[in-house]
Amino acid sequence: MSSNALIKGSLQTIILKLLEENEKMYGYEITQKVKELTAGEIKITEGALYPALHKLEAEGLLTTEIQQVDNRVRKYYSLTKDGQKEVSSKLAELQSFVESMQRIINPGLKPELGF
Amino acid sequence: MRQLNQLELKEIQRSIFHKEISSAEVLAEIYDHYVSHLQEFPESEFGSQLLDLEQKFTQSYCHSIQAKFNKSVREDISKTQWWVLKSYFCTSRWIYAVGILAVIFYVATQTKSQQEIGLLLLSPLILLTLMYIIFNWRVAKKIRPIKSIFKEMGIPITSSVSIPISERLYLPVLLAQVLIYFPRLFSFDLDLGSLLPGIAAVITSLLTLYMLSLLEVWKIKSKTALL
Repeated sequence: MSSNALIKGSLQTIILKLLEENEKMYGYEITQKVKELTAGEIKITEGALYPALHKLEAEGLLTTEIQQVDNRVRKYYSLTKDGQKEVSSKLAELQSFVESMQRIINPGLKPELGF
Repeated sequence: MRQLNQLELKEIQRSIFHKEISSAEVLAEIYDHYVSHLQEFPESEFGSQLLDLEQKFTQSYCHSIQAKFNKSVREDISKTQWWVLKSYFCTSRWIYAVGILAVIFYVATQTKSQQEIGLLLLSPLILLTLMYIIFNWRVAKKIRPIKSIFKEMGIPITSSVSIPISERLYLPVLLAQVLIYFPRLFSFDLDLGSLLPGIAAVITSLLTLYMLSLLEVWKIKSKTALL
């Protein structure tokens, strides 16, 4: 299982990437999607997810939509235009970080093979 | 995935009651998370899974989410209103602003008595009060489904996004009351004479632009929030 501390720094990028691929998602759906994609290796904790979603919303990268589902209210998140622009830069940033980490962990590895 | 029965839903609601959250948005999100999670498990695991959620969504965590959400909403409303106000002067909408100002200044020059000037000043305040009433009625209607789920909680539930807008709608009315009563309290006798229509026109213009910007903020936010 991956450490929560390692995931925390990439959480916003993970959320933005998921929302780029899925038009709109709600909080619980995001946690389940990450679990499914990583075969349970990465589990996003609720403690980190909602503050991250609200932060991205406040920064104008996400927009929300309220829908009535089975007698309850569900808040869907989707990317704004600014959010769509931000995804690629955040992904590039993460990719570069992973490549740098690879070079530290495995000095023999060629940079282009990093990710 | 299965449908939860009424007893299970009541159990979830009771569990969330203890967190004493007043924000409709945060309550709705946590409740949806609980229900979505518990629907994935069989009835036999309901108790243990609910306990698991309880440990994740502690009272302090929920209050921290609420506090951060309220703070970010306030900043967002300020930013949006400022952006709307700027757009009246910076973009092609300047004609719109100039039109409003021209009408107000024309009406101000036509006033003949203090009563007419008073009426001019009062008109945006009356509209703001009406907006305040309609706004709060709309919010109450939108959060009714959440309120009905958590009616036994005992603390007032309101939309976090509505609070800063509601305060902004009421602020000029409050300030006007202070401006009216403050000079009376100290028996000030201001004789503004011929300046009065001009002052009234400036104040009315500012109030009108403020009111229109708030109306636009309401319109923008109503698409994404419980307004």
